Amino acid sequence: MSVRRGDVLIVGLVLCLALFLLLITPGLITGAASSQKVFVIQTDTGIIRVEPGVDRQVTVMGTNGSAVIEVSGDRARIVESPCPHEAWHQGWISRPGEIKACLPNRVILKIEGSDNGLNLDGVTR
Amino acid sequence: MALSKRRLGTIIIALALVASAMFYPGSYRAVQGRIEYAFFKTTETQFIAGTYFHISATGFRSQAAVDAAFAEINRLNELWDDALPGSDINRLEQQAGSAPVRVAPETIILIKAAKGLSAATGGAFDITVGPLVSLWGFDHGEDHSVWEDHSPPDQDTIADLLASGVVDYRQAVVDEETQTVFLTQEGMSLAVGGIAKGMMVDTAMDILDAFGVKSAIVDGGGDIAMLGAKPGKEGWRLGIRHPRNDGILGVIESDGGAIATSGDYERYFSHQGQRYHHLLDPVSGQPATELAQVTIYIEIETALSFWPEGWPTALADALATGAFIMGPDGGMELIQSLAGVEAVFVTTDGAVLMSAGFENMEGGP
Repeated sequence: MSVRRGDVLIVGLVLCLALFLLLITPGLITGAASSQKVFVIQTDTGIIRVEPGVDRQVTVMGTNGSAVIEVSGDRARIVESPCPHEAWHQGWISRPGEIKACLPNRVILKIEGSDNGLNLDGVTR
Repeated sequence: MALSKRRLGTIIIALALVASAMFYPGSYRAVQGRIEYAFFKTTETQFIAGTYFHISATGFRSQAAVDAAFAEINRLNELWDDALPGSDINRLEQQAGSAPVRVAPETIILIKAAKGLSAATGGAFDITVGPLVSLWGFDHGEDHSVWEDHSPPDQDTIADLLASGVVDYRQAVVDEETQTVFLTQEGMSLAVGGIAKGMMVDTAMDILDAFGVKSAIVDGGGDIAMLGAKPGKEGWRLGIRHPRNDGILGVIESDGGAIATSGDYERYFSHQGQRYHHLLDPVSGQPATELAQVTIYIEIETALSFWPEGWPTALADALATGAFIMGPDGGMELIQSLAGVEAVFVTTDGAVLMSAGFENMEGGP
């Protein structure tokens, strides 16, 4: 059975369509933000994205002074920040949608993306 | 060029394969959602009104919509920031006991709605609680250093303040015809924190809707409104924080509506082993003691006699405060009487109470 050029063209178009659908699947072209967790540190001066997996400390400058964010395994926390109102920013976060904020220093630590856990889009507090 | 039967057959089979994949139950929506999510999603977070506002919107004009929403949130903040000279709230407080003040239409809505909820909660929610909040030291905004070695005010001072009549929502007189508000007692001040944040969220959501956004979530410091479902999903998954640890108390999934929480962990200080928080009972002058957290969820807004339509997040926000102060019995009784309103209470001894319609909440880890 011979294969005609038109058949190849059709198969090619179908494959292109399939590839397009595959590419727009979250996680392939939208990157880590939607396929897996990423820690996002936001200040007035910018946004830093930190991949989980490598333990590290990140220091950023808030409006009242420096803040230290610790990433350990799949969780992160604000270790230091001039923010006497402790309840807002203390403790670890590990799930997408969770946020810790030292508001006086205008530093936000949040998690974007999804994982196999609760897959939260937000947390009411 | 005429198509041969064979080529026609190939085309039909190919299209059938693609169509069956796309229209397989759930696939079409998932594919559409993925396309929109990949190419037309805008996410932004800003610090406003002493908290964060996070907007995630998906649609062809999502960037313009989010920009407009943030501009409006900032405009409202300039109206309602009492520390800002010239703001509506600041001018009202400056003229307390002297003269009515002409204010923006949004401020009329805010104060009228707050008064309506005050009446519905028997005064538990009271926007004129400002002087009491100041007496306790909870009005220092972002300057929390004042709470170190802080102690509660003595009972006589609280009693004198309450007896002076400055904490009474009925003394905030709204005149819609002249678009004025009059705080009739000198020394009155407004605590709009329990309602303004929700109104900012609702306003932002209205703007996103007007721009044709079909899927969005607006989070104003934990007061959250949802529009449509998350692209490619059945809804949005929202966690309710646990009042005493970093965990999640429960999860709800919704494709619209609003949710807000009040808790004794938001602003508080400890003195001699006791926690004193900012959710003050306008009658006793003391922090309400029976509950640790109240979450209000409004899936579908229904008409309520005491509340203007179109402000579901503000209602959730204010009801959370009101129910918290009313306590588990009175608060739950009120919630159960309101159509379309559901609640989760956590008592200070850890018991979780849910309204009848909240059965579908998933338990947290």
